[in-house]
Amino acid sequence: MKLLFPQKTAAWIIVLICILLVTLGCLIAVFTLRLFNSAQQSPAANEKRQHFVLVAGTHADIGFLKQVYEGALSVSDEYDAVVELLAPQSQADDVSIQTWLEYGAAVGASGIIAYIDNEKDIVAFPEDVHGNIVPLITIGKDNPESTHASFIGANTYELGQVVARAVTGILPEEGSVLTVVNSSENNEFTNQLLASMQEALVAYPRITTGILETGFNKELSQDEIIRRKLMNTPETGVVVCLSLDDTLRVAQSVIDLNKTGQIKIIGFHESEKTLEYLQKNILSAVISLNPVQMGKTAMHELFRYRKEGYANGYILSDISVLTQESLSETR
Amino acid sequence: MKLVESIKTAMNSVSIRRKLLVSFIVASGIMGLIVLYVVLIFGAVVDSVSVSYRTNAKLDAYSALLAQTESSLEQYMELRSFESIDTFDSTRAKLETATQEFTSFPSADEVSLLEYKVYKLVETFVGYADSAVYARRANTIGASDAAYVKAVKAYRFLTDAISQLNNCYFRRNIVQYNASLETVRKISLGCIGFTALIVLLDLILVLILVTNITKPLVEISGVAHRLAERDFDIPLFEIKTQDEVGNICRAFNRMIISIREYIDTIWEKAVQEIELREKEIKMSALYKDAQLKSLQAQINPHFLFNTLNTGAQLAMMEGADKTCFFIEQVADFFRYNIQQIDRDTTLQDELRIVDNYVYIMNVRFGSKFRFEKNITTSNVSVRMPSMILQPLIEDCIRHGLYDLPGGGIIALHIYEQDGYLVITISDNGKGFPPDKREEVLSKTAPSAEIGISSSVDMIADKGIGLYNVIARLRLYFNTPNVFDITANPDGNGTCFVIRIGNV
Repeated sequence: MKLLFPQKTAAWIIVLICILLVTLGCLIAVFTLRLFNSAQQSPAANEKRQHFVLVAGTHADIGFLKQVYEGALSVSDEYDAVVELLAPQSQADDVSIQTWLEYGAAVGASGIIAYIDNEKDIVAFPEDVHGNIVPLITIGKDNPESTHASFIGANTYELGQVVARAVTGILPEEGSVLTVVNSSENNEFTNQLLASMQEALVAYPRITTGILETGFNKELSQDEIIRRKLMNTPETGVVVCLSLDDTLRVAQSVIDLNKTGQIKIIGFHESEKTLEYLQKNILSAVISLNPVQMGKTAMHELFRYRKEGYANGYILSDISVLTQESLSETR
Repeated sequence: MKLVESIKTAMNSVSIRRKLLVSFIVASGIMGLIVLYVVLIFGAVVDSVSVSYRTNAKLDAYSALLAQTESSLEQYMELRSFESIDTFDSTRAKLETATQEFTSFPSADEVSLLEYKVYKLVETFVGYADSAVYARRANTIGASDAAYVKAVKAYRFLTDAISQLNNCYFRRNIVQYNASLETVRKISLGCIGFTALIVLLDLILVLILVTNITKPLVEISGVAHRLAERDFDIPLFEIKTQDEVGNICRAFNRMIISIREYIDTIWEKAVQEIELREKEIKMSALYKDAQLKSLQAQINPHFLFNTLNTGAQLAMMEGADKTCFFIEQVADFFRYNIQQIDRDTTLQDELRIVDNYVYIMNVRFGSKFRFEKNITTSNVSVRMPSMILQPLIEDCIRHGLYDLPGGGIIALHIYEQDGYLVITISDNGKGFPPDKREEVLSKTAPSAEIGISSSVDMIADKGIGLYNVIARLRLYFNTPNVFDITANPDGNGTCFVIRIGNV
């Protein structure tokens, strides 16, 4: 048989095959080493972002803040930003909103979205070490003396109308409505809301309204006040709460008194707990200010301010009423 | 296929020593690579574990440096000492240098974001600290205190952030460590599989090589075994390799061929020896038979031979020269007859005894026949069995000319023709019957079984007769064509033809 290669060439081919085998072994080694190194590196370790935005608030509002944070996070890629939620998981770690603002300025945040739950709190643009202001967007309650790029909040009158519609939805003809108010804070907001609600309920003369102020009594805790009131007024058909804390307190009291279903509760603010109570039919409705949308809007306004130097000073948030039916529909 | 054939041919041209050396080097190289690979992998594992805890250790050192900076700042703000400002400046510089290792941009990664926060918080802390120091130097107490308060706040944020970062490092390191362990487990499995594959390939290569080397040896062993059992009918090796085994196979082939040739030679010699021995046995038997009969037949001639010598001496004393000559011729004839019966002789001696015999017969029968001798060759020294020609002359006289009243001619011609010495003895007698000729020639053929008894019978019938002559001639010259009986070419009668080759 005629050979394809002379013997010398064939010998070189054998040598070449050996070299290829060795090279293949080296490649496998390099590949496994890279595999090994890649296992040590976080995939996001080198993901560089241009901006850093803080969503800050107190522990009491963490449920609401989480949704605001989700909204802000959902649009963060548009602005090449990282969003971080600053809200202590425990009340023991709770800090004031002012501290968060100082912290935001110190860590070089591109902007801060702060939830203000007391209209008495006066906030201002924080300044960093170089004297540059950090854009601030506030949501929740607003103090006229505060300075910020933009405030996103509910129209109190509109909110009162929505609450009244929720009440008449539960009590179409007659009944007693009890509104729980924390008298130690936010009187103006509460008064405006109650006025708006009363105005709307004028058309329903057989629906009576009452107010439970929980902030004055220094000897009884707020939940005890609520429990006693509910025990003493068995005719109460609907309890309206104007804060997340009051919602949870009332719900707990109703559970304690074993009056679930008998006393209807209209809660305020959607949070994990309120949504859970809603699903369990402990709450009949939850007044929501659409915190996710608030977060998105806050991000848009914040970066508009960074880019153009101004933003919408006052933005009304949408108000919606969550019920068990609407919740099951959306989920 | 051609590539494989090329590689096979290249491998065949390599010596076993080199093949073994190369296979050892290749196997060692592969195992060495595997060991190196495993060492690299486990080195990386050790590195990863050490790196996991190195970050925490570095961060602890960084915290210490930060505490030193803050402490020196605090001392300076309280005491305004040179030592404290020197310490502040040096630790501050070190702190800023160390801070450069942190990520300087926001990131979605938790650790990187914390590093970024530390980076910015250090920047804030140092900025406020510098402002406080500058204001303190300028004795602007209000501004100094305000800046210092901010610096302290930043420091608190910083320590919290570092603590978080430390925890984060720790958590990440645990995750990485677990991931590394998982990767190590996978790589270990891969290593085992890879090593097993390579070892398997190595074994296959070695097996092929060893089979390649030992296969001819096994064949050689089998062939040697068959040779040891005297089986020489074995095929030769088809050797393509140029290595030591190839050389052994080629030498084995040559040895087998030599043994076969040697055996053939021995066999031929043995056959020849057997044939010669058989001839000798036959010749000896014939001679003994002939001698026996001759002795029996010639007791009287022997006695007469002695007596004739006495008579020849008496005739010479009385002056009867012719009688004396005759008696001497007769005596010579019988002496030759007795002495030469068991040995060969020359043609010349045969011719002499023929002359003696013819003289005697002429004295006995007178003019009954005439003897003609025509010898055209000088090559009369050729050797031949004794007592050949005289019995043929006798046969002519006794049988050919027996019934002829007179004028019988017996002719002896000796000449060379085509490398043969031809001796013809012819008579003009009644001739040889064809059936008798066939019988004589066939019974004296080499293949014919001429037993002692039959020979004795024939000799008894015809003395040292024609059968004996033909048989001895054929045995002596080892050819059946040495003798023939034909018709006399000069007319009636018989012609005996002896053709001796290679003269």
